[in-house]
Amino acid sequence: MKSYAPWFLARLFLGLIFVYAGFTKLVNPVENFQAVLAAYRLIPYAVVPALAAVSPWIELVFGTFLILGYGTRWSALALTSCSLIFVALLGWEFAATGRFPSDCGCFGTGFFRPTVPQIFFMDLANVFIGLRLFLWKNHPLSLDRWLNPA
Amino acid sequence: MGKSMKPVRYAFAGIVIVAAVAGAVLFVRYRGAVNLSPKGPALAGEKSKGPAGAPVQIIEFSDFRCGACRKAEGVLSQLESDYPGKIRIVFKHFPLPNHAWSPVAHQAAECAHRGGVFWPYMQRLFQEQDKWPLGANPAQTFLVYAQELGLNPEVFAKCLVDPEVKEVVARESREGDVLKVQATPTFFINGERMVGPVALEMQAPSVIRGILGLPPPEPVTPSPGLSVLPAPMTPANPVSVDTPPAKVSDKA
Repeated sequence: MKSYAPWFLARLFLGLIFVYAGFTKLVNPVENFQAVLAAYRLIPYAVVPALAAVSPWIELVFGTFLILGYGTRWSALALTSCSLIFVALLGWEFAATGRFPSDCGCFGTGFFRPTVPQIFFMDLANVFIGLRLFLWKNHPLSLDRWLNPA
Repeated sequence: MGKSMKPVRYAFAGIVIVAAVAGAVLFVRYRGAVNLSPKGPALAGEKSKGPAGAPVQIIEFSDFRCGACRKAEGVLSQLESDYPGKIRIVFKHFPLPNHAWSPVAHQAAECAHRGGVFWPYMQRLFQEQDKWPLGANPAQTFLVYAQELGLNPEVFAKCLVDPEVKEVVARESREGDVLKVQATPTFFINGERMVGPVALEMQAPSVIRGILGLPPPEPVTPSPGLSVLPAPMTPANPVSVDTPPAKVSDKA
């Protein structure tokens, strides 16, 4: 348990980041997020409306799951995949234009507004955290353990 | 018994969590929901063009300093020429606080509206968008634009500092806030929201054709030049013309 303590905090951090990102998008008009996604060169416009509607729910639900420790490993893997996609999108924009976009669409309108380069490096850290949490077989302080005691 | 109950209990817990999360989102989303009237009547003093009884009304919340707004003007012109006599465009001021001199530009445009030359003045502001935001207060530049459009410079200069004009700009901006406009340009086509030039180009034709009872348009791909994000309204953001649709978080 002692060695898990920092990873528990990392689990909360990763979960909260995604809950915040998903929630702030979902309580605002979806068209705003669509407009941001439409500017990414890697995303075909045909999938933009569906992506804008679905991806905030993925962020919010798996973020909540991770905080509560429900399906912890798979939630961590899902959020790792999301982080990897964000890294790829931002990295591609940077490679194509020589700079990050001024709005990555990562967070809606809220009090937490890191810059896009900060978000890029946070996503890289999130990939590492998510993978480590996925590799952890049995998570203490989780619904998984409470609902399926060993 | 206990073992067979575990998956059911586990699945039930998942459903409860998802339902709670969805309930919270839906509660927050619809608590303050506002519906724009699908097709409001023409108001005295509003900046509009096109027939008052046109079946399609496009309300545009725009910022003269926003690159995406400039690009969207081309799409709007195309729509006007594709559906002549069917579209009425209503312009609403929505200057973003992190865009240098944008509020002053909107005041100038409002003065041009008083002089009856709003649309050509707006076009000029967008055309010269890369020039007037640089350096000191561009009021003098705005005055030159006004003179070139035949407005009286003295009247225009007085108008620029008129608190009533400021109030018109502020009032329309507040209208946008109420409607949760969070990026420019935002359009409402008979009440249907679209944000950014790409969405306007891709979605407006099918919405308009639907309103007019015409068959849907051929599928198209976005014009490459339109892929400009509406820029976020954060102080940390560089004030740049080619930035994405802007968010309104700093407005309140």
